[in-house]
Amino acid sequence: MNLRVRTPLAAAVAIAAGLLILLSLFVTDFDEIRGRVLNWTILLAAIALLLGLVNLFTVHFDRLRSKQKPFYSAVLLVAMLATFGITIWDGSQGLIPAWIFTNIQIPVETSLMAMLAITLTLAAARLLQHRNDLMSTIFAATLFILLLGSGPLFGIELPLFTNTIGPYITKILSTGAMRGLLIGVGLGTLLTGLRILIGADRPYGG
Amino acid sequence: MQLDPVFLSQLGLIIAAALTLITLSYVVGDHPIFRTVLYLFIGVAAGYAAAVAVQDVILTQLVYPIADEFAGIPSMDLVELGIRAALSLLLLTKLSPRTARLGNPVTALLAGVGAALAIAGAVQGTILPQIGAAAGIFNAEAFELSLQGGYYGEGIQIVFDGMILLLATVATLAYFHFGAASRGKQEPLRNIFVDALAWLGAMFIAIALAALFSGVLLTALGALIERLSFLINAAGALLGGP
Amino acid sequence: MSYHSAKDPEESLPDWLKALRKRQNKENVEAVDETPGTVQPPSSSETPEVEPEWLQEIRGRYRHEKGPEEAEPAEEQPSLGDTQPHTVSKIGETPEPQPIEEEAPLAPEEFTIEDAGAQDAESAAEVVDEEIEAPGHTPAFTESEEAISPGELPSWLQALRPGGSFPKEDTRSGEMLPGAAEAAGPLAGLSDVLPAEPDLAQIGKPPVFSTRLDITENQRLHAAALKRLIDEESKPTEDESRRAVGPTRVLNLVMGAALLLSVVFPLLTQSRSVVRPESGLFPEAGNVYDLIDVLPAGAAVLIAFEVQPATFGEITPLASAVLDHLLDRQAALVFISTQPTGPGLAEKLLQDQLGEMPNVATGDYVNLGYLSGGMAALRSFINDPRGATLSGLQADAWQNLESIDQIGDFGLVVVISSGAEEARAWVEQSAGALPGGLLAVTSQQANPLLRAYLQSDPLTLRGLVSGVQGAALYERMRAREGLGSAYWDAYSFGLGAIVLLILLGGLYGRVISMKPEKGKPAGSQRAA
Repeated sequence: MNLRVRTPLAAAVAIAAGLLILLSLFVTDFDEIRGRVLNWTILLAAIALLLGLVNLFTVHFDRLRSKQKPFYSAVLLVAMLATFGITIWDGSQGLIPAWIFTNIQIPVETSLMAMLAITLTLAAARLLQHRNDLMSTIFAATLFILLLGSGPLFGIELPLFTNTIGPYITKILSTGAMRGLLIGVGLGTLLTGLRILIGADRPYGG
Repeated sequence: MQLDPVFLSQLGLIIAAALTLITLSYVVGDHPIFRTVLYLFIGVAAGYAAAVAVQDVILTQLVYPIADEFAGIPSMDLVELGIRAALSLLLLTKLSPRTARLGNPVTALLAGVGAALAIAGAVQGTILPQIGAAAGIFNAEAFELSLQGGYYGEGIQIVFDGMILLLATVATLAYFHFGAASRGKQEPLRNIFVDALAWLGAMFIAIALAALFSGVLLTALGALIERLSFLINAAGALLGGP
Repeated sequence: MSYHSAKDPEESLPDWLKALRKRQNKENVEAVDETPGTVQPPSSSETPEVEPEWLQEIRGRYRHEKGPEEAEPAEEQPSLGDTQPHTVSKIGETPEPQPIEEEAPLAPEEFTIEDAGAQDAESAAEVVDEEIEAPGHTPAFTESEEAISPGELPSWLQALRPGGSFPKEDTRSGEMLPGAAEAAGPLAGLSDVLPAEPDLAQIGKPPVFSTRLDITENQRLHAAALKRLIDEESKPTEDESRRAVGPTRVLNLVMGAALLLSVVFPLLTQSRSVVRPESGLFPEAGNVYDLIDVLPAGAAVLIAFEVQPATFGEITPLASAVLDHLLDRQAALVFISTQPTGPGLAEKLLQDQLGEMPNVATGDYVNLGYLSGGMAALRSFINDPRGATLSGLQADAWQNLESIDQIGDFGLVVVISSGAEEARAWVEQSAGALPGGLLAVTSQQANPLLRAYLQSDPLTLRGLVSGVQGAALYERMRAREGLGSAYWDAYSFGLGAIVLLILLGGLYGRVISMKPEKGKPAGSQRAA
């Protein structure tokens, strides 16, 4: 029988902790307890990160055992365990951890970002090729103007774009829209947060 | 065994250059070497992040105080330490599906604190300041000065810019306005004025998204420049060139 | 007709029937109320004004042959019959030998939509297609006629609604009723709002229902055809013009190579001929410079180093220029990060780019390390920098910062950030604690979002400088040459190449897609 019982304890904890933090912003007497709760949160977040590592390990260990693309999983597991072990042993600023970080993680991650320059250029070209609707035209035209205004092209500056149209779009049109988006996102955050604080939403599985 | 820093540096240069080339080669298409590098990267990134979390937080905030307690030189209040240990153990129960429910109160704590901080931050840091900015969008001081100085064109420009900025903000917000009037048995319908404003808002959002796209593209260009510069320097260093 | 379901009939309806009903409600609520239980062929008054000519012609033909008064359920000629060859004139008659007749017809009560979906959808759809294209017949649709847009159901399909299959009373599910509360999304609990999750947003396959309907063979055929239409909606449409562009990989290679070459050339030649940007155009960057330039010597400056490896390459020139300025002002730098990679990257930046500066060479700076917990960590640190969870090493570091009890005691707070979200978290959480706001030194991708905070009231962001352009600008303001200047020419050439490639790639695609494919008339190519 699959019984799904809602535990009030988890909801009570979420509501109490949230209200305490909110209250502490107005009542200074709660400063100390707020500091404690926040420090617990910091510790728990670090442990959650560790749980993520364990989960990644489990998934790829299972793949290794079931011989489901075992080579890639083996590479991942060896890299993960070696990096974790060495960094714990030597400290993140130690010679080998810093070497791994500098010569493996940074080059790959930066290169992935660099590759985005090519793929986004292709994506923008495709947009011009295929899309005809109004919004796509506005998007493409704005993108084009902003790129023209982002600096000199092959050393040639286009003052109309760099000094006039580009800054106007950036400072007026885009900023106005961003402000609207930010207010909207802020209101959404407020609503979502309140739903958690009144127990209407229980993302923690209570 | 003592590792030679010069050797390590040269080896690192070769490996970093090779990894850069392999990753950039994805532009030709996916291939097994690229995939291998990707898995290597994921492993390294996950291992490093977790190790930093353990080293900077878990050891200092939990493990060392517990060790101190056992060693008879307590460095933390016992109740506080007990709470931390208990919360940590409860969170660790999430590792197994059978015991995962025990960890719900702890994740609830994280969710509650996160929600409260998000609310406080959104209200104090975004909603109020942005509404304040939208309300004070007309630079009254500059407008007054422009009129006093006889710069009527500039004055008109200030008003016009303010109006456009305000229109962009309001229209964008209207796009996310879902309030609608009831129409008996039919679906609720949005006010035609709000609808028109929302249509305009969609255009402003397209402009904002284009600005974001160009930002990401230029960031990627910056990364590309750095990587190519690195490759040129690495080739120079390894081949003895400039 | 009857429902064999104990559930709310409306709830158990497939999505496409709900959608049909909604459309009918909109167009002809009164007609439905007056004639329950019968199938009303669309009269001329119901015909939408935007109905294409060919459809009106079909309707005219249909009315001429049967007349609206004959529209009884038993003899009804469903509108999809318009698409059939005219040899099939009546439902009751045995039609010409056709593939559909090869199947044993199901008794009406045995037929289920599920059956139609699972077994007959494809075959029935093919039958319709074959019949339309069969030689010797006069198809209702010809190639020269405009194709039906997959997203717009013509009104003749709306007539598929089985008459009398719905009770007279309003059986809509609670969430569809006027005034009912929204059940999902951030608007949950509010009434009279547009649905947060409209049917259009449900891109998955509609569920297959086993509700039995008493329908005729033709209706079954039509249902299958309709299901095929809906199924095709959920399939990604083939981009014909993409095919016309040719081998995409080659194009990718050519464009990628062109971009790489345009960036490599100035780097190889170490060109520094392109004029750097003017500060007058970027007052927000000037603010960063001005605020740092008036810092008293020895002032403690908090650097929130929220950088990720992906953007480290881009942000290094700018961060180096700003930190160089701070170190020149003899600021006491204190680093903190909520990114696990932040402390390592900060250390690498200091050692690689600023290792010769006295403060860095002597280790006269503080790296507080990593704070896990995102916003909680930020709030904890902002409220009480000393009391926040810090490692043992960091406790020693605080001995050099006796004057710092709260975040406001720092002379400046500078956020060096990869993304807008990290910087936004700092802006939001420090809003009350830093009345003057903070400075942001960011990747270019964070600039558009953060710009909105520059004019906020109360002020939350005092200055902003971003990207390679920002680095070149900042170095120009400082009358120095560093990585920003070294990259500036490559940036200019890369930017030029990107603009050209987008333009040429777009034009090339347009030109190619305009060429008619072999064996296809020019007009039949659908614009993507």
